[in-house]
Amino acid sequence: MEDLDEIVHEFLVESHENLDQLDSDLVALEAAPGSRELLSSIFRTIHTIKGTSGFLAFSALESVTHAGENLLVELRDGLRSTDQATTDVLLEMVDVVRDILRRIEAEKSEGDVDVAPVVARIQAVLDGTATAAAQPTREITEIADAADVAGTADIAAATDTADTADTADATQAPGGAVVPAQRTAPPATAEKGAVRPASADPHDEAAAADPVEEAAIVTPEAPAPAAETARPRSRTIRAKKPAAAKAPVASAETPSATAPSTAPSSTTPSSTAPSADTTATPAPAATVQPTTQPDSQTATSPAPEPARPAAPAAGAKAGRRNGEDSDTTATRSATDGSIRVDVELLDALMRQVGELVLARNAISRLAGATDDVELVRASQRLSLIASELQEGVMKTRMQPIEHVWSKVPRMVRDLAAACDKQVRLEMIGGDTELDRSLLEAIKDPLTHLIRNAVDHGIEPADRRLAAGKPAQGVLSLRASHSGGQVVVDIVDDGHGIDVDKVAAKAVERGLRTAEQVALMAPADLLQLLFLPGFSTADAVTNVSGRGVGMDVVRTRIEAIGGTVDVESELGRGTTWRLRIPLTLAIMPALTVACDGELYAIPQVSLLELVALDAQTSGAVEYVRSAPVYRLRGELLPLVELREVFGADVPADRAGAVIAVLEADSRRFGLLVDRVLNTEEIVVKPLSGRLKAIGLYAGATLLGDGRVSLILDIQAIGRRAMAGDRGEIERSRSAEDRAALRETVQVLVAGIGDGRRVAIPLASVTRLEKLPASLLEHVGGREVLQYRGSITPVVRLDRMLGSLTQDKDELTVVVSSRRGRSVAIVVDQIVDIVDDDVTVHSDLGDLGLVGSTVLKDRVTELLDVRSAVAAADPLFYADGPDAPDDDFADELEQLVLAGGTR
Amino acid sequence: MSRQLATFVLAGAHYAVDVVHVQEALRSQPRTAVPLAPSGVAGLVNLRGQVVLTVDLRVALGLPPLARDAEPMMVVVTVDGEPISLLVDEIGDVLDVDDDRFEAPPDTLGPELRDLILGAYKLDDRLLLALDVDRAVAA
Repeated sequence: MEDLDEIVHEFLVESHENLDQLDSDLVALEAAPGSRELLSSIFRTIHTIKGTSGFLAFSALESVTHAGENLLVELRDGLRSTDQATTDVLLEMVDVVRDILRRIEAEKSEGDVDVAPVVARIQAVLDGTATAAAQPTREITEIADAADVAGTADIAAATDTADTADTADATQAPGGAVVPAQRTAPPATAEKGAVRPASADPHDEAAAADPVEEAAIVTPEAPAPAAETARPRSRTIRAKKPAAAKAPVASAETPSATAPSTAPSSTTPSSTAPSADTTATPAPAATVQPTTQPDSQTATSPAPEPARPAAPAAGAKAGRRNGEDSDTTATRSATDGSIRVDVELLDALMRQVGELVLARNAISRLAGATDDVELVRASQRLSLIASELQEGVMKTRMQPIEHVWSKVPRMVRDLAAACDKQVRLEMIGGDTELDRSLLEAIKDPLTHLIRNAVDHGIEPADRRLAAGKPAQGVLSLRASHSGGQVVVDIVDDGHGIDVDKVAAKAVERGLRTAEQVALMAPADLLQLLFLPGFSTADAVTNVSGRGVGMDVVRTRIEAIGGTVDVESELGRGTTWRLRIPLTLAIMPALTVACDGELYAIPQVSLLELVALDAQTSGAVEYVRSAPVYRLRGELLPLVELREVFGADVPADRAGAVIAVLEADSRRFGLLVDRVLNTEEIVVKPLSGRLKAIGLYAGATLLGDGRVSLILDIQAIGRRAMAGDRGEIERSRSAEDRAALRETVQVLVAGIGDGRRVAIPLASVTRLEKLPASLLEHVGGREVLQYRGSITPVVRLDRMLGSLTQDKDELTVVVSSRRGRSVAIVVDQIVDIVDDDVTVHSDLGDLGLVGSTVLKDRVTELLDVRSAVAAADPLFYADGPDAPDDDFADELEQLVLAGGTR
Repeated sequence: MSRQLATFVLAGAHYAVDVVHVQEALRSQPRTAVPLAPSGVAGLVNLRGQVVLTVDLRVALGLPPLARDAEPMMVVVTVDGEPISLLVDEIGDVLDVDDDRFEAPPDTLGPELRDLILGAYKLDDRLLLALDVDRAVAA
């Protein structure tokens, strides 16, 4: 029984993997309905599940997959084409299958999942267009026919040594041919599983496996061998344990299984002994197989060849699998050396490596304190080996993020359908690897963000079209490695987050006062999204908006030492950025001293260190009570760690060090007494009783065996910033605003007379060179035919009172907004530069908002708004309240901000 | 019915916890202070590679702190599967005590201690106070 459990377990693991693949494949199929490759892959997956479930006597599962398979056969044979209804019903089938599998996992049996409705629906789709090929006369002969076809097909396939991928297709093709006959037997006969699949799918291993079970009723000893023959298969393909040990048992016992079933086949060719008849057919295939499949997995694994001919069930199955594997997972066969390892074992390994690293740290410390050259050398070698081992073990735990993403296409499809939106999904960097425990941990937050993006981010098609965007929204997932972290971006091109709305909501919810939000920079306002109990969704939908929001996402991500950031541009979309450490267990950290104790600061949050010596210790200044430090001219808010801990702060901070840290995309300096060194630390869980303090991310052991607390930088930053709201908030947010808006990219254009004009790059849609002959007139206005619409033209030189000679070619800056465009004609394009807002002068003129110095030249700052309005007064008519597009406004604000400094 | 009790001394009084709670008893080790921790928390110790929370029972029981030069002992108990080290003055013997010697604490015992002390075992020569470990470390 235990053996059977193991088989079932493997079946479950394998099936779950296959189902994930199936989800993606089905969604992909909808996009590419004709793809034979996808269809074959889907077919094979369902087929595998069906076959194995038949073998393991999960009849409900079998009947569902069987019905699905019927549908797929028609799709594959081109008898019908994929449409939404088909995909829906197939996805539904996948869900039911998953449901049953879960039940099997939990209860060791199928339970009472009612599969009839799904089967009926599939049947309905089938009947909808299918030519009702009810051929009662075939009922009697079909079994014999099917068997014959199967027999020949298998042999034909087996002799086809050229391409194992073809083998799968070839063997399956006859199955399709038999389908009409098979449909005559409705799903009601599901309980006669042993007979039905045999007749329907002679090439299926179920055909072989089921009759063996049938035979089991006659010969009680048969099931055991049957199970045994199956075992070598699973071992050899998955290579979990050496297969050789089991193999002799299989080969020894299988004859007893085949004998009773093959014997009757010669004597009773009629339908009275269908099981016997069909079992005979795989036999020839099986005997040929060893020669046809020498290149596949089973050949390279220690699978015993003698077991195969003696075990038709296993042989047929293995053969089919080989065909399947060789084409769907060419990469897998390339890494035949891979094995499955229990995750717990890996966890244990990781823990031990962690201990080794600590021991290494201790040894290095001891070695460093002696003159013993031998000891130092040995310790260095130990150090090297430990590092390599650590890296190696970490690698074993790495999995591509694809594992989590595989479910996304299905999810996005369903969500988009539920919200009645059109969404295209892009996934970039799916091969980015991270620790599997982290992968597990980001699954839910990622799902949440994706749901949010589809539900709230991307607008319905009509609104998108109205906003001048393509009807289909784009949601992209991007993963990459960056600076020892994995960065995952969830980007949508939806309507973005309205910070004013966020502010209003925060006030309404009583999370912030109106005065507070009035002073906050947009980036700070976006941070409010992460407050508990915050949800801007106007309506609670089925998908999201129930108040369980971003705070949960942030809590989850921070629990694994990661961070979440959000950037949003109204009308253009939102980007959520997750930064996740590569691994949890071991991380580089800086050890610092404060008030006689040592603390560890994760290196990922650390930007730089600034030492305060006797001369510079006075450099800590105060904005009222809040200490700040001028770091390269910018004010860096300081947090005194002693103060955080409630310890005395000495008046003289000479010798103290500022650790410049980043948390929640803000910088702050942590004042500590002393910095010791950097060390690889192993994170040890902290007692639950200390978690409530909220300042520590865990504990670790230092090289000398001392326990040291790991500081939770995010929490400390947040606490310090939130604790001293009031002045610090004011100074900081003003500062943030300035820092945030310090530079803006501008396009510098010449307008003759040596004058230069800067246009914010954000308002530039395109640069064009167009022949002057294209200029036409509407009334007194110059217009251009540009991209199929009449575009008004504004000549900057004339507008700003400069003189240029007419040229044959116009240099045009096109500015577009909500489907309207204006062509701004300039003399020449000079450059695109970063404009430091703080040096702006408000010296301007009509049509300008000021001037500044760019690249050593005085450059006029164009009032884009008035320039555009001169050509098209209606350009801004449909909503001056949309500040995102209001570039002149923005620039004005910038200038004001600059002027007040 | 009799049970085995691990005993220890705090400010001259004898206390006991059921021996099944106790993992080990050992000399005190250097502790790492945890700023802002509840007052009963005496710090963290490295117990063979495991970071273990230490609770000062004197603080939990409202006793004055131990003299500076005296070195406390540690009794490591398991609470909810997590080892926690208790700081005590001295470690006593493990005693077999009959259940019928047990009596609930007197009504005159202060309410803050009633939570922590389950009752007393009346030994021939002294009283043995039964400590509620879960509550003592939760303080």
